[in-house]
Formats: sequence, C-alpha cells, structure tokens
Amino acid sequence: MTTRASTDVAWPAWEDAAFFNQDPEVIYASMAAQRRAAPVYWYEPPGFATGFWVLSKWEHQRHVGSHPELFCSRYGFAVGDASDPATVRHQLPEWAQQALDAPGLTPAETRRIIALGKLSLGDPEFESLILSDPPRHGQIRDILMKALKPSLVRSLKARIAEITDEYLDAIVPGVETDFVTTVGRVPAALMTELIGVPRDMRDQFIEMAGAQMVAITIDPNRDAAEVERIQRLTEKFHDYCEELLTDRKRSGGTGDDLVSVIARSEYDGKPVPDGMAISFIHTFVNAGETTRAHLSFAAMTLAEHPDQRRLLVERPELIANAVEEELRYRPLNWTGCRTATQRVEIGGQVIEEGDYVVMAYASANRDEDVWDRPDEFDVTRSFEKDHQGFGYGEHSCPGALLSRTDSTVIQQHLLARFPDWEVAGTPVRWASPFIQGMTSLPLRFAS
Amino acid sequence: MSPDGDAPKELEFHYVLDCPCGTTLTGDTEDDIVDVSFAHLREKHPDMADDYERDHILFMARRVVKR
Repeated sequence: MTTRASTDVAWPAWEDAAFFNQDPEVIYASMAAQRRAAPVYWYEPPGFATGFWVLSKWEHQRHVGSHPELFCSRYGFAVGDASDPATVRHQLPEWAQQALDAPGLTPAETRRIIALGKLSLGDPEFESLILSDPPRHGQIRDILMKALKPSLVRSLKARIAEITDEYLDAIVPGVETDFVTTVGRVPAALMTELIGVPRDMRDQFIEMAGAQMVAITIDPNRDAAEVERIQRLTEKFHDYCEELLTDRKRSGGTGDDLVSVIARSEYDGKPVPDGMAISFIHTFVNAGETTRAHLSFAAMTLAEHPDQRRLLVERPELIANAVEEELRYRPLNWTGCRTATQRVEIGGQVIEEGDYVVMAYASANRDEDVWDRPDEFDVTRSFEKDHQGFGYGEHSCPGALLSRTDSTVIQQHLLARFPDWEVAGTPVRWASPFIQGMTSLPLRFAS
Repeated sequence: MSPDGDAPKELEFHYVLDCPCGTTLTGDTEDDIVDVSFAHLREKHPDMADDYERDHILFMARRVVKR
C-alpha cells in the first residue's frame, strides 16, 4: 500500500485506493514524510504507463492553481486518468475505447480520452467544465455560477434550517442513528428540491447520485460487480436527468428550478447543448453529495474532539470558522491534477511540457509552513490563508458557497438541538485517490 | 477550550471572500470587504460588477478567525 521508505515512514501510493482507505493518521504521516523530504516528487506508479509529479506544498499548489496558462486542465483532473488504458478501457464508453486505439497518442492525449470518456455520458462531443481551460472554461462556468448565484443561496438558509429540523425531529436520544443516511442527507434533499425532483423520487435519486460520485473516479482495481453496479445506476441516473431536461425544455424553461435555469441559458449564443446541461445537473447533485460527505466527516471529527464541540455550543459564532477547519483537517478531495503546457521549474525541479502534475490537497492542508500545529483540530484556527479543501483558482469548487452555507446552517441547528454525541459503531468510509466519502456513521446523541 | 485545554483565547475575526476567479480578498470590517470586492469586480470582472450588491458580497464573504 505504500511505495518507498523514507527513514521509518513509507511514502504514499498516490494511485492506490487501498492507501487512501487506511487509518487517516497513517495516510497523513506518510504524506508528511514525503512533503518534508521531496515536496516536488516524480512518482512512477506500478502499472501506469507514465509517472507524474506530486506537489505536496501549499505554496506550490497555489502557484499551479493561479497559472492556468502554465498548467492546463484539459488533459485530466484525477490520478486515475493517468492509468494504463488497458486496465480501465472496459469502464469507458465505446467512442472512448475506439479513440484509445488511435496510433501515436501522447500520454496527455490518452489521459484526456480517459477523463472525458468517464464523464461524457456516451457523447464524444461533450464539453466538460472540469476539463476545460480559459477562455472556454469561463464561459461554461458562468452558466453554472449564474444558476447558483449568491442571492439564490442566501434565500435558501431558511429552507436548509427547515429540512435540518425535520431530520433532527426523527432522532431519538440514546438510540443509534446513522448520520450519513439521516442528517447527512439534508444537502442532497435540498438539492433535489432545487432541481425539481418529485418527493417520491428523492431517495432513489440520491442513491443514483451517489453512484455517479463514485463513477467520476476511474479505478483499475475496481471489481467487475462494482463496475456493473455503478454503470447500471449511472445510466439510470443519466436517463432520469435527460427526462428532467426534456420536460423543462418542453415547458419553455420558465420555472425557478435549477434545471429550468439551465434549459433557458445560452452557450455560444445557442441553447446549452444537452450533454453540457446534463453535466450541470450532475454538478448540482455532486454538490449535495460532497456536502453530505463533509458533514459526516465533521460529525465524526466533533465526536472525536468533544472539547471543540463544546466550544462551538458555547460560541456558535465560531461554527463558520469550524467549517473551514473541518475542510482543512479532513478534506474530501485528496488530490487534483493539471498538465504542464511548457517547461517550468517548481521547488527546484524541472517539469517538462506535457507532464502530469498531481496537487496533493490533503498534504497542503497539513503543510507546516502554513499551518501552526497542522495535525491538531482547532475550530479557533486562524484562516489568514485559505485551505485547499475546495481547490484554488479558476477550477475551485463552483458549489463552495452553497456547501459552506449548508454546512454552517446544519451544524448550527444540530449543535443547538443535540450538543453531545458519540460514535456508536464502526464508521464506513470509502476512498479513491481523488475523493473520499462515508457510507455509514453510527452516532448516539445524548438527550 | 483550545485543543491543549486552555481557556478560550480572545479572537479577532476578519472577512475573507474567494472570488470565483480564484482571487482571495480580505477586509477587517464589512465595509472593508465590500470596498475591496467592488474594486476587484470593477478591475477584473467589469461585465459582472452590476450583478452584485452589498449584501451579495457580505453573504459570499466568510467571517473567520484572523489570529
């Protein structure tokens, strides 16, 4: 599960989901060992066609994020995109499999086919926000940002509180409650309302959306049954999103829901292409799912740090700051990737044009040059500098504002109602080299 | 309490706003962050400057611990 010993701590296996499914303390110790010894490190994973650079320091990642002209996004966004094509082609649509057979592909072109293939929903003409660069990226992102505009997010606070209270009403003190499938569902439930999913479809929709989250991470080691399950659910999910879009278009896109907003938006002076519109629905849904994961990790972290939880109960004005600390301490995204557009030097290492660059966000969030006592969870921590929990630069998370709002409002209500809880069973976490989440978090709330 | 068990320290807050373009803006007061943000909008995103009002800026800004 680890690659190389440096003194007494092995370095991360950045391509291996098994590494990211270990005890977090082991993961962070491993990342710290590499960050201190080799902050810009050329790593060659076993079974990969080529290696990639790993950037572990906050400062280097900020440099990459703020220079899209030097580090582009069109040639992959996740570690798995650099997999040997032979090991992942069966997880890709037909058009992508054929494209991979073209002679003379560069490693960067191969990564793009893999990355686009897993997102494309079968459409070879698909344009993705996450795989685009300026100026196209700005045009695509503007559509999304106008749909999730601040005035909308602000207006949602009362509704977030109402949904949260509905879930909190169902909690019985002293009885084991799975946080992931109860309070953790608030962001996804809100998102289904915003998208306009009928109430009787919401649970099913959230289950399909969860599969979509897993599908964006391609993993050569995923077993056949899991590949089949994810493909089945994501196809179903795609079909449902297509129905929603068709329905909104038929009614002229006049509604207030997010799908209607997208249906009446324009791209290049024409209606947004269906593939792009559906990918926006996926982005909305992913925002709900990632916030569920964040809240679950937050609830677990606050259970493990009762002194910090009590401080938030006493001083609720700190909750917004606590959300930032939660995102720093246990970020959902382990990594994000770019491709060098020219020869460039970082941290004394020369990165060649076309090289893949992996930013280890989780490592930057523990960078001792930026954070005082980086391995401590401290809700009073100063955020003069921002963490990498949402990435940085043009590709920073477009749903960050909504996610922060969800997380703050939900924790305000949770802590006011149930100031004390403990972990009541074994949490079930899943992780890929790109992202992590939870499928179960048994908690027991005190009365 | 802080993690080492001390009494809560006196905290100073400030406002931080991450512009969607990736720039991080800061201000010590509500007025500061609004001024800094509008200056940034006018300079970098003039086509969007009219889309935002003071309360939008304040809503997007995070009030976090400064030191």
